[in-house]
Amino acid sequence: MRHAKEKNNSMTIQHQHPAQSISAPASRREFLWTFGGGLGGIAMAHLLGDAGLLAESHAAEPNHDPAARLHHPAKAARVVQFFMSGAASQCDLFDYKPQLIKQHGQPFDPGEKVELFQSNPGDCMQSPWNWQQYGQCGKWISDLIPHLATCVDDIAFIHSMVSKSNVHGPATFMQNTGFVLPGFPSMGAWISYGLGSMTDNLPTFVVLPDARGFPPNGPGNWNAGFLPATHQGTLIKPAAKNPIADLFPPVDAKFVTRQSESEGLELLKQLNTEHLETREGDSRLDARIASYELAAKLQLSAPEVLDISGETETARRLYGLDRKVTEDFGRNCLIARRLLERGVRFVQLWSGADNGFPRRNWDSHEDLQRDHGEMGASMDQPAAALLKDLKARGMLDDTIVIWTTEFGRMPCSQGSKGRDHNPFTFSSWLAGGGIRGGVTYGQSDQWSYKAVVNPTYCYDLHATVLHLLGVDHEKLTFRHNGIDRRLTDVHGQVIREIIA
Amino acid sequence: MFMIAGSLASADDGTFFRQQVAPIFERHCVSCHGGVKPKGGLVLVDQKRTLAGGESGAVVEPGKPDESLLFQYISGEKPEMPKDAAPLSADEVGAVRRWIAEGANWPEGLTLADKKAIDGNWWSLAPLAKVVVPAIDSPWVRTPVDAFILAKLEEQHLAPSADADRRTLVRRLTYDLHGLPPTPEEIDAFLADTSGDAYANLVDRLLASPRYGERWGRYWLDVVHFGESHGYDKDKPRPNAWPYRDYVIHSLNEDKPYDRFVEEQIAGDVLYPLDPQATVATGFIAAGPWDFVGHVELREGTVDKDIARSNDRDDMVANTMSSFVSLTVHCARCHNHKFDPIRQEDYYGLQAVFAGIDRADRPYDADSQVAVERTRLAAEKARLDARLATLRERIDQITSPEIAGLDAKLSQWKAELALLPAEKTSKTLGYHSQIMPTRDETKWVQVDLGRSMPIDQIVLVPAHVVFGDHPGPGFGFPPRFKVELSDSADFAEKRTIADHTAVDFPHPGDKPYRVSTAGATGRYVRVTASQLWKRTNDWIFALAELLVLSGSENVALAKTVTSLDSIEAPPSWAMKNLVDGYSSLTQIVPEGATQPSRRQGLEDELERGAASRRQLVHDRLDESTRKELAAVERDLKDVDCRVSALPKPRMVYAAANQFAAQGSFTSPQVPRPIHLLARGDVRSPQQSVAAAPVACVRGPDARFALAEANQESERRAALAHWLGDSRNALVRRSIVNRVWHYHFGQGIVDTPNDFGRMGSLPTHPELLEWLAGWLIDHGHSLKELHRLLLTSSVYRQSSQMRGEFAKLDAGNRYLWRMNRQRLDAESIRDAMLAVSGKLDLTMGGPSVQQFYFKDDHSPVYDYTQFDVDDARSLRRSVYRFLVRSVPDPFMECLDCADPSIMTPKRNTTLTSIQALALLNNPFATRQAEHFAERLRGLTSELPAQVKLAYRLALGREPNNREAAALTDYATRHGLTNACRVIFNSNEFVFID
Repeated sequence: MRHAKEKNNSMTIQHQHPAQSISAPASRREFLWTFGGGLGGIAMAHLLGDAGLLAESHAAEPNHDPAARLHHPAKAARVVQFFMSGAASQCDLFDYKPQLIKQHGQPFDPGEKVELFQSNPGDCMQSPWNWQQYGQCGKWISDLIPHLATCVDDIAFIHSMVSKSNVHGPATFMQNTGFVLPGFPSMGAWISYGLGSMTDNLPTFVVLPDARGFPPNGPGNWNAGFLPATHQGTLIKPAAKNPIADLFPPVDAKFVTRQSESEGLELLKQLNTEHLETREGDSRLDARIASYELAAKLQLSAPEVLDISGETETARRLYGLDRKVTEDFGRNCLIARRLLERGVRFVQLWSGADNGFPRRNWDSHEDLQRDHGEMGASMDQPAAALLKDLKARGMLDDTIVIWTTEFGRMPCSQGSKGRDHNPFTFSSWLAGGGIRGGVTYGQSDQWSYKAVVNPTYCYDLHATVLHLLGVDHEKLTFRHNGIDRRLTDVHGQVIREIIA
Repeated sequence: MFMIAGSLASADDGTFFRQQVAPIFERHCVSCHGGVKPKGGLVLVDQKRTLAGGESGAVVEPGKPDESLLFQYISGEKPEMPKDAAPLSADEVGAVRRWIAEGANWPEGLTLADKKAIDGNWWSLAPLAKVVVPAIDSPWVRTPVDAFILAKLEEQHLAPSADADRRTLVRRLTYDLHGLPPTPEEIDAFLADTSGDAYANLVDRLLASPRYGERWGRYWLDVVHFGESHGYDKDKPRPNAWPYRDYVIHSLNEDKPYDRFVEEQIAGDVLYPLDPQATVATGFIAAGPWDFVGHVELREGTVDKDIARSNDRDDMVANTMSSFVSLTVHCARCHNHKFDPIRQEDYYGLQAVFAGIDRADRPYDADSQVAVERTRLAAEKARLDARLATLRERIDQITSPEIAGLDAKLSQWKAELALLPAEKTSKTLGYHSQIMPTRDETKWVQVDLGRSMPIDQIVLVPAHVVFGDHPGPGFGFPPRFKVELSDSADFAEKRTIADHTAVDFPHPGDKPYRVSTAGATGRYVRVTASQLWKRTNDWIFALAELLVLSGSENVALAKTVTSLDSIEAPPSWAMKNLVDGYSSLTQIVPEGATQPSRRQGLEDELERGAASRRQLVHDRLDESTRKELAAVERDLKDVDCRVSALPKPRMVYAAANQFAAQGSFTSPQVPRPIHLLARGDVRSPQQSVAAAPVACVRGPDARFALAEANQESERRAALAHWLGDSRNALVRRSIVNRVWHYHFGQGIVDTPNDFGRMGSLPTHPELLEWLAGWLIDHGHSLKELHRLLLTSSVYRQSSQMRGEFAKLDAGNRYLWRMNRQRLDAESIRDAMLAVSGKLDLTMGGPSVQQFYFKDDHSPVYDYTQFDVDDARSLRRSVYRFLVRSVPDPFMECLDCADPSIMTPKRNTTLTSIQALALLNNPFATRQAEHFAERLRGLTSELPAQVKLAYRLALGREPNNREAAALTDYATRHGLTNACRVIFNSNEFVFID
């Protein structure tokens, strides 16, 4: 009875439809003005986007238990997502196929017409890396990722991911937003919208792009879409001169000094307060005053979180900061841990930039061994380090770790050394916060060409993540252009099999 | 057991089910119990799934109605089903009962469809009603609009607020109509004008200014999600999208009647072919995102290609219906609309309207005289071409023994050539420059030989393309070019080897171009095209191979190639293909290495034979044919001459039926067939669908009368007429509500893009109705509408909160005061420029790129590498170049519209990131500096400077406390810091 749904009226955050009543308050602001008595801290927090939507139904209750506002008890509070841009190959990392090794060099004939993105199917091609079994669960993992291999007992693998698009742009949108079109909010934005912030000092949703540049679609991947801009991912580029845009005045604005800054903000507050005195009853004016105070807090905390000089040598080595190949991604992973520690709700880490030449992401059409070799080496140790570090600090219990990519790669060759796109099966995995480790869900066929057991779209993965965060994916909605939009569109099933 | 029961009962031929029961299911059940996510897992569309039941198990026990869940659910006192709807009638319940009792026979192969009758009786779909203005005698009522507002306020036990003070009004009006602050002089003039019509005169003055079109045009660009790059992966810029933006601004400024404005955007090119701006108007259809990879790179016939096209059509339908009629027709893509009477057929009928066009650059003449002349010459050319074809047909009949003999030889050579072993081939074509809208552009490509060396000969092999719209030899070979040699990559010092930049070089066909270098030395060889080769309507430079011969060795082979720009589209086009040893597709035979091959010999023979044949035929022509042929050819040349003498057409990114092919993206020519797609899936096409409007809108004709149903232009023209038809009340309701929304901060209908059942109801339905009629009566003039609204008392109210009313109507839906509004992103940015004295009011033209741009496989847009003092930074924000994938972070955090989605109303957020941007973004700090500089230039004493700063930025003088605090602060930290504080104040961004 998977479809059976419990009604939980006190928790319903869906907009009622048909929405015809005009006497009902039209916005949260009005709701609070009417029922919450106006200018409470919660009203302001709403405007500032700090409080999640789920706080609303209990807005009038003081001292309510934060957990009580969720749809159901949460198992996790935070998320960190690895995104392999360009399509990482399932059959060279996690999806072990002895049959493919056996048929290496033979014509690839799955018994049907194979429609590929760029090429016609070449022969079966085994992975250039060897495979070994790891952990209690005995998971087969390729030699490309020896560090992640040691984490398999914490990981739930999904070997039957499928995508609705075979093209990077739409498919990357889909994994992030549930839609192949631009303009939809990403998972991090939805979670920010639903759950809000855990800290005043840092953004709720942070994105760390690959040091070499943006993935396909650019910042569209971490957009708030039609949700308020508050919920979009805040970009942090740890290796850049200005890791967070506009955090401090530009260097050439010499007129700003430490003293002028603090007195100026004080003066601003004074002017704004006086302005407010003759305009009472407009909580937006209060909220804007508060936004400058929050900005000042961010100015204090952000440099601290990005300053890794206090990290131990062991930690630096764990994340691979001592080696060129792992340095960039390792720094991002280490900073991700620091962000999560300090209350950031959702961190997205990109491995791989755009689809340019020479290759700077996982899109290995030409030479898989060379290009996956490089990407794998740069990603493996830092990603494993973050998993282990979170575990060692006891944070893995309530942090969901997601590893995904936009689609997979074909088990047959392109040219003689590359692999073309494969939307018919690919692998993602989850770990931590409520996830059962050492399990595998779904299965591809004997070559890793098509998902044959439990084909899984991102909808189910998204539904599962929301579920673990205490959110019913069918109830987290936002009305846009006449449709109550959801992260999971009209789809999505929680994957119970991978929940602890 | 139960299957047997089912089949035993099939003595009945199924007529009863078909006629009595199936219609009940289709009308009342299938909309939930069908489709992708059936409620309760129960599907009532075919026999198998009906008998299989749902989550609660079987629902039909054939022969036993009382034990059948289905029957239990629909019968009884308060039947559970149909959910949230009226119970079935007694007759209907009886029919289902009888059907189950008689064995629940379901005719073989019968599948039911969702035919839920959604009530078409909905306020927004009805024809326009006549409304009487409420008779209210009150001094507050200045216009009929006020009468409607006051009647509603009284009904709700509310009362209007008094007029705001005049200083507030001039600031409110100026920002509202211009998106800019009033100057101190403008404020003073208004305050000094004590005449009775001072306010009306101010409104008139503001409406007459071109600043009005810039402010209100931006709103329309939000609605239609206008952007200037494609979006998605490989987010290429659209250098020719801007004419549409100018069209919108210009149309508003000249107060183009709204019905005409609507018609032009759908089919201006068809309805007003001699008005160039009407073609530009169809930029509306092309405004939204476009999947470059899906259209250009995916192969024809693949599923993903079909999906890309379907999504593209979907965007056009959604944009049209949301923008003009505020209906969510796009909800009916996968199933009938769940709430509004819009069927899947309606949706695909609209897809069919756009089935014959794509988004592409198309030429237009800015001057309508030229457009007329071009049309005339095109007709003349068509006539001559037809005549020439007839002559040629006659000439082709001519033969003689000699010709016949030659023909025999020619076909023998062709046969032999076909039998020769294929030469070594490659998929590479060569180097291809970026595509330019005009001929006179300079492009260069060069090869680095690695070191300086003696060179004997340079060979340019023309490209030869065998597919696409321009197959043939000499593809991209420039008519004017030069070849140079240098020892430095930047060619600071160089030696010219060949110069063909003064006179056209005859098109070489496949013949390689050779030039001897007379023993020169150099490391870099550069070929510069100074005039480009013409494709259809645009210009390029391409070469298959560049050989640099030192002795007999090609020293350029596999060396590094650089160029001014390039289209990197491997395997065909790439810079490195210029030196890959292959001409287009075949391997180049090493120079002088062998005797001319048999292939080469045959090809030469064929070429010579064809030439002799032409001569032989020509010799045998009779005098009159020869004369006529000469005359027609001369006239054609003359026409071509006159066409090329016309001013070059401009390009606009718009709806296009004919355009230059790009990869697998080619002109549709005739409309592509449109099928209804089950569940919206391109792999499940159903019946084909003809172009049609939305049937549920009552008033205009519910069908298109198309003389030529397969004529692309007819379809769009029909939709344009349907929208333009004054009987289509929805179009008028939609626009008056939008205008209201922008003036008051909220619409009469609070969901400007959705007037359906999922949208809000109008707060003042009679007023909306009256305004829609009023607009029609006033020639669809938007300026008249503005004037009406702005001169009303409801608009002039103070925005002060009134606690007693807030308790009754917290959202101020009934307008007992004016809404205070936060300025939008563009207004904040423009106001900073206006106040700092840096605003450049130049109108129109190509958009200003306020970022560093690098064209690449995936283009780079970087806002951090841009000098905020660059002149491009100083234009009004409506002229910014709008990149979809990488929006300007400064504007984005101020809630500027995302051009990937239609934005009928913007969010207003107040975040710490926004605070940081206004404090620290280089644009903001620089404007503070310019502002201070301006003040210092105007007056010398600090107190006076502070006073002036307030007048410029906030439209008033500071009070004593403010003046003292700011002066004190400026004394210690400088005027610039004080200016920065003012820019960040609440008063600067909120308008009372």
